[in-house]
Amino acid sequence: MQQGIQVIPLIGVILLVIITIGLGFYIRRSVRGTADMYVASRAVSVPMNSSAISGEYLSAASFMGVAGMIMKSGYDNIWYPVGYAAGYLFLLLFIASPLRRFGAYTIPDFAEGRYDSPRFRKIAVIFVLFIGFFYTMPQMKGAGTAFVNILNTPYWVGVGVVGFVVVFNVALGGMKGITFVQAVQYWIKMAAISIPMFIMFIYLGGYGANLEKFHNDPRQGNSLPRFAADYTAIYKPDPPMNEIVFGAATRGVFLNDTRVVITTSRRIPADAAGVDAQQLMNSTLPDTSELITLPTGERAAAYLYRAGDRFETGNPVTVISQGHPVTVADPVTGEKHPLTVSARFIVTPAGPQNEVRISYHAGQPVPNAPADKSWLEPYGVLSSQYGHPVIYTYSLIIAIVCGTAGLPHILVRFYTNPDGKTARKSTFWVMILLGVFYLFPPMFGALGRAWTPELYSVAGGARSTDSVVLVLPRLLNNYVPHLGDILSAVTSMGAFAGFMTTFSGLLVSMTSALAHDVYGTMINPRATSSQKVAAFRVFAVIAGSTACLLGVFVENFDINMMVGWAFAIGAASYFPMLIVSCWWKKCTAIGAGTGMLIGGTSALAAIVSVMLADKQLIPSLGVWFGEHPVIKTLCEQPAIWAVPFSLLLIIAVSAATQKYVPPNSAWKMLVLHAPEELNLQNREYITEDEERGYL
Amino acid sequence: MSGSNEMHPGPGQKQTSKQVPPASEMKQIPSASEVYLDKLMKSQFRLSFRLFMVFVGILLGLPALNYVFPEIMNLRISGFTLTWLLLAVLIYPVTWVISWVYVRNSIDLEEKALTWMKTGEEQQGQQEGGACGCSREFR
Repeated sequence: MQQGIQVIPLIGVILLVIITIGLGFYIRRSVRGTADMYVASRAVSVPMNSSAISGEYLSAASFMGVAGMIMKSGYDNIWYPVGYAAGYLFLLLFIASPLRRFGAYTIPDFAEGRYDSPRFRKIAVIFVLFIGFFYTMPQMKGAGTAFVNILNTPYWVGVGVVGFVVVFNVALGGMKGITFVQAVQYWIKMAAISIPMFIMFIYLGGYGANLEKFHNDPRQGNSLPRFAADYTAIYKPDPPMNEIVFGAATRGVFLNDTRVVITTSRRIPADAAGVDAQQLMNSTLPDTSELITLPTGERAAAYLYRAGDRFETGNPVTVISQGHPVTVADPVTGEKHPLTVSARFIVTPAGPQNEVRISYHAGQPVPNAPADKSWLEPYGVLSSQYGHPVIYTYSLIIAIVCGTAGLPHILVRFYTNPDGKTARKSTFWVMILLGVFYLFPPMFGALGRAWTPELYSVAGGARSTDSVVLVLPRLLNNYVPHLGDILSAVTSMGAFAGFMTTFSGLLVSMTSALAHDVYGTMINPRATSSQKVAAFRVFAVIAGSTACLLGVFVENFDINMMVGWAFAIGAASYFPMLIVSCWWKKCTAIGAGTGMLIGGTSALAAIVSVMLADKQLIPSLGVWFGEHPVIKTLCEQPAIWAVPFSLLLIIAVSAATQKYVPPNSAWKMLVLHAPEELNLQNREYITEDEERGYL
Repeated sequence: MSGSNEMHPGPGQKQTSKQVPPASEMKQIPSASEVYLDKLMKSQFRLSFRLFMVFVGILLGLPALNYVFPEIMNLRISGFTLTWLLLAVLIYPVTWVISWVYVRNSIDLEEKALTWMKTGEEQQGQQEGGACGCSREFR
């Protein structure tokens, strides 16, 4: 493990921060008023705008998280990048051009303008802020994690640095300022993920050659990755970082006094004979143990291992019920297999330290790693976790695809295009820029599994699979001195570009919701242009600081899980509302509002219920979910029912409230779809500033 | 973008707090154009929807293939499994083709509709006082 400050990556990150702030200052001189601040005067060219959209879209989740997720669970997680890209296609097909042509600036503008309903604007504002904050938290977590890796600073330092730089740039240059920065940072990210990968191919073997190391034939499909060198894993006492699942007999040494609860890796049916701790272990259990109550309410023995104690877990054992092996059906093929379980540790430090250190020797199987076959093939560990992989997969796809189409910071970007035609053209180029980028995270996943399997050993936190993009290039130090550090500096720059662009996009959309929709429209509709610019800056600082504070609290959350939440809510609220509003004349404000509100909140409620159950805050719910795995799948990935539900609600409620159809809805539809040449455009919501040059 | 702002020159309207177009503005759309626009919107939607169905077919078909033909989808091709190759590499060019077809066709549709409208209005004559004004505002 690398300890101490990584000097070369640090220089890379400092360089990036200086470039970003410098660009902000450079752009500031040309920012003249509200229109620049909110929509970059709607005059961004196609190459610039498509790079900026892509730059904004490729977040920490895309840059680090996707590679880490693919390394962690394999094939199932490739749906993430595919869904991110495919969501854009749906935006292009249905939403990009009408939304630009309508001329509204924010989604709340659109909601109010389409239906002449100020109340609808308020609902939309709440959703912008909600999705925005949900989506900033993972960006912040990524920033904090990356800083831990590069600098060994406390987690909150990274959050603070990224927060400061972005708030500074947004407050200074608004949309115009970040457009240029985001366009530049797309190319930084593209270079940062592709160049190190090509160099690694030279030393570590190609994409296919590395995938070839993983077996999916029945004989070797159960192989686990093994430590390449001696490794000390650090387990923090919070779930999921304190859980260690051993797939096969593994030897290790505790480096400090540790209490270990030894349970089975999978749930055992209630009618089967229990498997006790000693059956799961090859080494003899320590004499000292105490009975503690698990958060689930069960009583379990916690064994006290002293510093220096060795242990060896056992190979999987078959669960027996009344003298016969218990069988489980493979969820995909339906074949019956005997149910086997292995050891699962829940570790807590027993001494003064706040972490548990376990040392593993080279050649030992890596704990927490999935076996080759389940990693390489579809319906593996991620989608099969509740036994209904097909439903899980489809729901995941729908959530990601529709969620992309409902993210407020992405939608706002269409307003910076000069017209609907260029909005389409930009989106086409975005498809290409994103598609090329997304070829790379699965490569990091594959090479990471082959070359840095030790990252599996801790299930979360700063040194888990999430950091594969930063850790993997360092291996090249073994081939050419400092090459690894330089490449790691490059990927670190890319990761920071990721946090900054997405956070700045979100901050602009949240700030716009506050400054334009709340302040400019509800509180002080007569605000002058300079008041609006001032409001924009004040709200940028307020929203940015709030996001940083929230970011500090989510250190132990999974980046992609949080992104998934933002997406599921967006998928069930904005996406149905926008698509029906753009294409159905008879839709009413009540219908669209009801669908968005109830669809979005029910998706949120479903997801939160899973979190409450998983974090053991409502143990009875966890037990109930355990008995109803289909419902748990549907709650964790709610899009599969929430999107159609929300669409149906919009249509049904609109049909029931036909007398409230806006009288000019035919005209509104024309505005949405007529080419600009006819000049039917709705009013501009952001007027060009007359007090030029006052800044 | 100043052209569209000139439609609302009044100082009181600078705040754009209401979006209902004045009646005079709505009359600016000749009824013939409205018919064409309606037609344009429908054909745009048909185009989008057809391409959407093609892509959804591919996107949702892949998990089905994985489920029904796992042996074929997990065949190894120079290290990759077939399904890995499809999902992690080849799906992106498919999205490019679909979006290229869409952008080209939708711009064609609009240009066609604009030509119809112009010729249609010329046939109607200039009795309504040069109704649309689209050529004047042509960017």
